[in-house]
Amino acid sequence: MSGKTGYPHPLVGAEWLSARLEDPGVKVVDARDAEDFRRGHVKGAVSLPLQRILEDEQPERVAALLGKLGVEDETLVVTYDDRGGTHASRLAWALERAGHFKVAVLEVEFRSWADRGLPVSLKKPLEETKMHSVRENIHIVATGEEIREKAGSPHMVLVDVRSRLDYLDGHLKGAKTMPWKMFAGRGKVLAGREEMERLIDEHFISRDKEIITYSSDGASAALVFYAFRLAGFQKVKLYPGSWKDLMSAGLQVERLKEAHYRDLLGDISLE
Amino acid sequence: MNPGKEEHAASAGGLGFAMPEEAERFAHVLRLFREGKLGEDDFRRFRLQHGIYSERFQTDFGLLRVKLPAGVITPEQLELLADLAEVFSIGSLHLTTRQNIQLHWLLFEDVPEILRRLAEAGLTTREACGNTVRNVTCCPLAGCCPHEAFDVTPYALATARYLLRNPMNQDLPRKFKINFSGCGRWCSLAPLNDVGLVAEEREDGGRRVKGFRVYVGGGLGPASYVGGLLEDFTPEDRLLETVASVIRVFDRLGDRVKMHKNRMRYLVKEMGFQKFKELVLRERRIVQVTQPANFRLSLPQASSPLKEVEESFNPAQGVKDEAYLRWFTTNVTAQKQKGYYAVYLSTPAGDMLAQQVRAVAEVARNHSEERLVRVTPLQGLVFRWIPGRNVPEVYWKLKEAGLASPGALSVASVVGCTGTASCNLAITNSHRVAKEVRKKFLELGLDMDGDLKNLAVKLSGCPNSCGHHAIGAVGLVGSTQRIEGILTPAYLMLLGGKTGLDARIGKPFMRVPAKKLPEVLVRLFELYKAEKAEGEDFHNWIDRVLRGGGASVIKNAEDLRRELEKAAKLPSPREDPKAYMDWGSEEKFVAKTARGECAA
Repeated sequence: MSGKTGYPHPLVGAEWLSARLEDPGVKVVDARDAEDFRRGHVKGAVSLPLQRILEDEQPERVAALLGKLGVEDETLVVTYDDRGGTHASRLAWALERAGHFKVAVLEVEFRSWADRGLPVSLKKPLEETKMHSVRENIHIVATGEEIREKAGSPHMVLVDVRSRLDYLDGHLKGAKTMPWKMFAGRGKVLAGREEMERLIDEHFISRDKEIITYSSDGASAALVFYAFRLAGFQKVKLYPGSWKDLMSAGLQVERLKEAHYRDLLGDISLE
Repeated sequence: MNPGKEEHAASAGGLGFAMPEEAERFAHVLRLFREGKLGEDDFRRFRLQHGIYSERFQTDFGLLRVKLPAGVITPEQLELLADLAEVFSIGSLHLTTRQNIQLHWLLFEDVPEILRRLAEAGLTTREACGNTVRNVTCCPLAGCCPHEAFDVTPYALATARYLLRNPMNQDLPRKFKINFSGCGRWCSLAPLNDVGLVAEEREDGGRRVKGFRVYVGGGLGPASYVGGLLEDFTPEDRLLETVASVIRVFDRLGDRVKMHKNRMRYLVKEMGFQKFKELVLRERRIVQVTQPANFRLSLPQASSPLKEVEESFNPAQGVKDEAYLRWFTTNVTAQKQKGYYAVYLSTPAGDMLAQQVRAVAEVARNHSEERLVRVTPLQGLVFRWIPGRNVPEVYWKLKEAGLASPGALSVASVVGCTGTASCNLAITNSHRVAKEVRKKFLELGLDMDGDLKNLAVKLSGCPNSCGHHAIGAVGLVGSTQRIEGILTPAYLMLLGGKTGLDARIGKPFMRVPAKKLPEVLVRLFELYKAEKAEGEDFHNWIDRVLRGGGASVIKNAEDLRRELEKAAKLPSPREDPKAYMDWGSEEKFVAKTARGECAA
């Protein structure tokens, strides 16, 4: 379970997990909406919609929520979603930030889990409250202030994981464009480690750099946060807010002038 | 042929042209360039040979051209391109006049991974740009067209395969273009290519022999030429050696110095057609004597999907839906195989969104019995082998995806190159204005006008003619005009251009400010309709007017120009400053271009 960064391996396979559903040391957490959870979930999973975490991400609150779900400090939490792993990653990141380091993302979406005939349940799980301590981890959080301060630094790479079109419309000064979908694997939320290492190498980002990822919603950047970590990067941070938040932080934005790429987008009568 | 040449065919059913190691090579060369171990010119030459141009005025962003010999593509390949467009590009694909498909606004750093994924599906970008043999084009209806001598597709594919990565043509003086046509009717582009091959069958000692009329020395650009006839019949078994001989002569004698004059047509012009022809035929004798085995034609197996089909079913019979009937009239044509139809799809200047491309793949898979799609030289697509009974369903599927626009086989099928939306050379946004013109024509129902059928409006953003303006019935070239002392984006209008074996290059007629172009074109067609003699087509009317033999209102060129100038008149800059800006722009117009990459 331990990757070369010293962090736990951020991804677990469907087969690996299905063999451990009864393991008291493993807790599966469903990041989808409560309604989706009611219609069927991984057997034994508990529900923690990402939305609920985002309402208030204070580590104390997150730790309390975890405790209520029966997660102890040493429990391995495995998150999943139906959003290409973005919500599961964002949830996993929030847990890490609150000091719960034993966390991983399921490498497939729920529908693929169900399609493979792996155990699914409709039952509301029994939740037994446990104690969870709070150890805030600030090393994985990037703030607007920090991005401003480190702008232009040769030691930091700012990674914009929004779509290429969003990037062209305007991006943080100096950011690299790596749309999050380029990290997806075949039927998996992330490609294999070697493929991701190659992809990152081919974009000329070296392992000694500090990485800060940002996205339009904060969630897809969390998936890419784990991609970089999986590829062996030691210093990876997520800007957990949205593009809108970044804009209100007053950061410097670059745009292409007089580039008519939008005219390549199909029918003008649909505009 | 080329020993050791193994292309990755994967699931492409004989349409595989890729070599996976080219992706690794690209990654390697890009690294050398980024590390400063390879100069900019060398890198440019390398990436062009691998189908990558830079985007307009950009140093990091480029476009990638997927080469589709004969314009043929499978549903699986289309789906892959749709995925790639969403992941690495701006979510749209662009269809080109040479039957390629382009992805825009990629980072050069994205390219190795894209090439890897393309190669798995059998797709290549190799020699899609640069001084190489570009995509071998072919009638999109080949194999189904009632007018063709025979299906030229296997010949186009075999020629493309023979020349792809062939050391003979990796560093030509300039790009080289080949077209196959099934016949010489109006839609043939054969005489407008470096080599154009027109199918013909002949009787030879009681045997039917397939072969080609061979045209050489044509081409479109700042100076466009119609090719001359090299041979009126070249039997199929001499096809490759003939094409190769032309390439060899060009390679040896073509101009490698003067960038603007190094297409083969200038060489032909300079030495005279007769001399060029003699040289090529002599070269062919040498080739025949010295290396006959190198030029053996090996045709891919053509399988006809023809099976039992309801021959008498009429897809328009009894249908009341007017939108359907309009679409059917202007987008669907009967194949020579009774009961089967070809369904054309028109796009705004070649652009399609990723989800639309997926819908196209779905239609091809479920409704076309050959399960393929072809890109047309009009920046559209065609589904062939649709049984008549499936035509209405194809319509509904396309409509759902926003793809059932009428006018694919009409004057509303307006061609426009990418212009300032992508190209370094463009002066104007010819891409956007082509969409505006198309929209206007469709709003006015010009697609339904029988008098305008088969008339082509073609636009380029500069004189280089990627939008084929030189052969449009009305051609338009991006340019500028000073109006009220303001530099204004404008188009030079060419009249009289024509495709087919009697192809003609259009002649410059007048300048039209960009913002007035749709109105001026509509006015031109109104005048034609009002003034033409009974049954007189547009070409004949234009010829008559330009000769000064017009009737009633428009007697001559001056009359026509005066009438059109009325429609071209801009409001004063104070009243409407935007009239002096380009389409899609909110800024004062400046004519800015950078070095073209075509010739690098």
